Amino acid sequence: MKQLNLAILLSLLCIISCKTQKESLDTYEGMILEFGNSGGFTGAIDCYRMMENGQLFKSNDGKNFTEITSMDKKVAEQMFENFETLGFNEMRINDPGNMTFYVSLGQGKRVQTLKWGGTSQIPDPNLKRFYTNLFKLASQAKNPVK
Amino acid sequence: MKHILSLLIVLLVSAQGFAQFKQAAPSQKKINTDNLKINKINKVVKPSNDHEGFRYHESINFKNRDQRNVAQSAVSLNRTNNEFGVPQLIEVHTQVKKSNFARADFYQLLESQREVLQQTEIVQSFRPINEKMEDIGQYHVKANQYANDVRVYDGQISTHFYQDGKRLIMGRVIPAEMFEGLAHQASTTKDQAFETIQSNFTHYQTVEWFEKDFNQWSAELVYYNHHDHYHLAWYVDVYENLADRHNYFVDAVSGEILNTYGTICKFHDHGNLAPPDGPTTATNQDLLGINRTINTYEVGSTFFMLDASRSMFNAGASELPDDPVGGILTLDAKNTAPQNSDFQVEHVTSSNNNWGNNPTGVSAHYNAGQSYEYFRNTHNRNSINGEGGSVYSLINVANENGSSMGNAFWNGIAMFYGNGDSAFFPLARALDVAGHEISHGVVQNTANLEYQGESGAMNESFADIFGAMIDRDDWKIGEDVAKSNVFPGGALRDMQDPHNNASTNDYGSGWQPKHVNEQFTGSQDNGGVHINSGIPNHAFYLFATEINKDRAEKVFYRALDVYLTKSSRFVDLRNAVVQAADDLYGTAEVDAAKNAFSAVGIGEGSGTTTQEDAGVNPGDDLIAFFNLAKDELNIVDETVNTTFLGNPVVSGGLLSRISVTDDGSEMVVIGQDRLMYYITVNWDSGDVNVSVLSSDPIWRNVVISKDGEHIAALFDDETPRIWVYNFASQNQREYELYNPTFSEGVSTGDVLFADAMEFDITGQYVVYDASNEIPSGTGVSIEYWDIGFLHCWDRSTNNFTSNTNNNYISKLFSALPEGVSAGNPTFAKNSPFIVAFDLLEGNNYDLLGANLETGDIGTLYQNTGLSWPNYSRTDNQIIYNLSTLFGDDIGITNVNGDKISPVPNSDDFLIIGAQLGVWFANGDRNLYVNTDDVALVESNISLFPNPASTLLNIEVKEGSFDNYSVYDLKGAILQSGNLQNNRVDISDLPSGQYMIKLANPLNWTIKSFVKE
Repeated sequence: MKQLNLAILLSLLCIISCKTQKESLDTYEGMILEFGNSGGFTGAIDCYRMMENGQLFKSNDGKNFTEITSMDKKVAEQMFENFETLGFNEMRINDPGNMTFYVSLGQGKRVQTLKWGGTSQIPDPNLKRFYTNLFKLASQAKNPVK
Repeated sequence: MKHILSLLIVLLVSAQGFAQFKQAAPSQKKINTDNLKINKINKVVKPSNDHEGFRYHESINFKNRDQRNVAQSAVSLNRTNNEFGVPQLIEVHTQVKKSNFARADFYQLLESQREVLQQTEIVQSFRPINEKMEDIGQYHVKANQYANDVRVYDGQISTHFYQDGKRLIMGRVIPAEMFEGLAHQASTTKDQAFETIQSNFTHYQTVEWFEKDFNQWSAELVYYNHHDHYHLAWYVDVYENLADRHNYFVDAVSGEILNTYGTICKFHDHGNLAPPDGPTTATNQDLLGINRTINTYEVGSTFFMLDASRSMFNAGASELPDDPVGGILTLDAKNTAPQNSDFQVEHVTSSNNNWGNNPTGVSAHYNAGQSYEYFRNTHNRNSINGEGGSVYSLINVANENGSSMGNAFWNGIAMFYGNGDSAFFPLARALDVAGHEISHGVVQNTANLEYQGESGAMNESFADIFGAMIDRDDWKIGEDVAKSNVFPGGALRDMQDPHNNASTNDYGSGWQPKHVNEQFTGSQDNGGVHINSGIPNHAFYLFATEINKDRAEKVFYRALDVYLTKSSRFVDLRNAVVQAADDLYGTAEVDAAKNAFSAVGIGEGSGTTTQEDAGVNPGDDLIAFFNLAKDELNIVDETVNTTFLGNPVVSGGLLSRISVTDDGSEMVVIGQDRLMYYITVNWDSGDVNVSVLSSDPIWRNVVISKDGEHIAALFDDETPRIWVYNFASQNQREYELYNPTFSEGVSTGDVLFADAMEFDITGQYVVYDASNEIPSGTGVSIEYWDIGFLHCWDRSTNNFTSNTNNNYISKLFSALPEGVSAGNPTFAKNSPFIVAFDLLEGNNYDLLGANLETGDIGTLYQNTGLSWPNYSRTDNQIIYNLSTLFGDDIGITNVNGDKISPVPNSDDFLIIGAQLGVWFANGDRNLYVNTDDVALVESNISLFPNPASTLLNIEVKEGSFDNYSVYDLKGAILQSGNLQNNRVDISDLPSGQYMIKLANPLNWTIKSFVKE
């Protein structure tokens, strides 16, 4: 019995140690993909931050983020990669409107933000699709992480 | 980081020198390296002339000054171009102020912008289809674009003329070159085109009863964009039957069908088609349970939620029910989201004109009509766009994830209403929500207030104000849709009491600031546009309760319509409202306006500096910059429009930053050959001339004074000297750089050499940065960079200052905190007491602004490398080197009236793949304003004991100080108060280094101390 318990313990330790390291937003120094929208009559804010390892955080004030889930790391990495492969790194759009939508990729203070919703600039269709896909991924994660 | 440092520290122990700092920008993943994204013009390039290392373009053709005057400061707003590089919105300011316009003005405006619009001629290219001269002195012309006498299907503009000289060109223009070589005569007939498309018909049915006044199909020869190429095409508009209408584009040469699309109309097929029956009415309950009579429209036996009964309705131009002109149309988004690809829009229909099953539609439709009538009757405004444009409302709009949306918004075209969530009832339910959203459209079509920072808060406020005036029974906003479990005040916002019965700063519960001392300064919500709107909201409430709502709403509307502009701020709102009150009424209303704004903290002088500014240079906004290889000098206007210039203006290896006189006619620069070059620009003829000012290869940097009378230069040998030359007297003087010593006996080390320089507006001072070295006991010297002012010219004697008495140098900071360097200083263009500069603290690069008069410091931008900042012509913006993840560009940030703080969220890219931007103008102005000296007064004070544990004593040998503030090294104020007995109790401070600011009404200084 002791041997069985030891084996279970070792297995658990292995699972825990093999699992992706959880990061805190406060201390995280890697790349972050942020997306969301704000505005309208109510001025509501609905935004998300995604780490490269798939950890996803949500905020309704743009300031205080709560972790809601961990997405598949490969999916997260693909979304980070898409930002560049879709040419958003070369895109410049800063056109907030009554309802503003945005996607940003950054590391520390070095952030590339694409913001649309105003009447001056028409966002690239791929950017809107990218944003929609991000939102779909985020909305699939509803249960708060404990 | 506001007041990040008011910097003075006893010991200068900088582990990183500014030399490192100047090269320490992190390696970038470069994109577009050496590939400036500007519209270069192929000009005849003269090979290198007699100046080795430089080539210049002799044949650059600037517009002559007369031409330039026609289109003074042509601005394409937001730098928004279509895919062909033509601006979609051009704002032109002319000196022509008049109230009567004619077709000739339309052509003259377009002619002035012909190059920007990329056209070869105007009259044949733009043919008016609609023009209107309003009683208020505004003139509007809408025109279709033509090429080769053929209409460009997607080319259309609207132009707007205002009494104040402002002109707008909006819309989509295709460059003329896109049609060069294209056929302009069809090889097929329109009947052949119709025969071709008939194969696509599935239910074609001749509509015989329309023959007299209705063409079942029509065809027009157009240029049509298909896969990025224009084709001469037949545009066929055909009703297969009354239920199906399609547009076809058939290549007029090959006969191939290029494209087809239908309409959004979802007629029901009733077999026997009936003619349109026209407008009617219905009465049903809305979401509040109130019976509302709404205007609907009947086609056959189908009723549409289309109001074609208002005075703006234009039956002749309408295609009903899909495309009304001057109609109010309510549509159903079928619980889809406009952001998603599956977004649907359908008509709201009824087979019997009974809408009892659609109270949401009744509410939205009724409220849109009420809002339209408000602007029509109260402000004589003909719909949202002022020209009788249709009003669209979309109901049943969902979130991206398909959930019910607890919001409503204006997207620039239409109002979108969600059906509510845990915090809101269905948004279409409330009249003030509709009023709010339609007012956003009115704002967009008047001042077009930028949706961020204070202008964004004003945009929100105007929407609230008119929303409250449309639903004018109270001062609450959203009281019919906000749920009280979330909003304790019972409404989303409250203009009478913006705190709205919620906890302080609990924005989610409806709290708003009611005074500028509560103003939100964060970046969320586009800089708090929904938060800070509480301040002008409350000002309106105070104003309206003083003079009455009827007058107040007219005054605010006039302020919006006549006086405010895109980037206006709170202080501009006050000025606009005061002016509008004076225009419409009298002293009582003017005083009430002033009192209302003062009560919320928006003072007459808010946002302005206290010392006299110089007048603004009246010339055009121009920016000189280098490419990343630093071998091209380019000049563009502020919209990065190069169409009036040939770029690069100068080619060749360049070493120093360009320095320009105030009128833009003279420039100096050091080449990589170490020679000093002098560039002149004749803005009338466009001639650019480059000559060698000094053929001795000994130079490293040179700057020219604003009046062009002096230059200051640095030798290449990195010695601590600044050499100054006066052109008029042809005299020169060298100034040895030194660090002033202070009463504390603090060593600030020796100056090694200066680097960046700039003359102040008066030509008497040069601000510079310098590398300094402090010997240490370990034998390893410590280097740091700081900023100094050289007083080199005395205007009262019209001569050099003495270079022997060691009082010609003063410093911005008499000592910097450990590990901190400052450099790359630049003066504001119009305020000699404002400087911006780089600050390096560890790995943090901050672009700071400092007011030398008040001692205030603000963080203008947090950068990832050195900024090399430069203010705009009017000091309302600042440009800087910008390192992003993907390359090096020139960035731009809007600056508040204090010139040392940014407009939140206003940072943007300006020029891609560029560096060292210098903003200048080409107008003339009086540079010799009565300004105080720019340098700080070095007070002769000392602190003791230092380090101190309980009481810090201040010895002031001359004068006195009234109050003090103690800062930590991050600039946070820890304690402040009146200075009593020249001592401060610091016993509550933790051990560490601090700064103390001592001030009186005329002077201030900052010293550092250590708490034991």
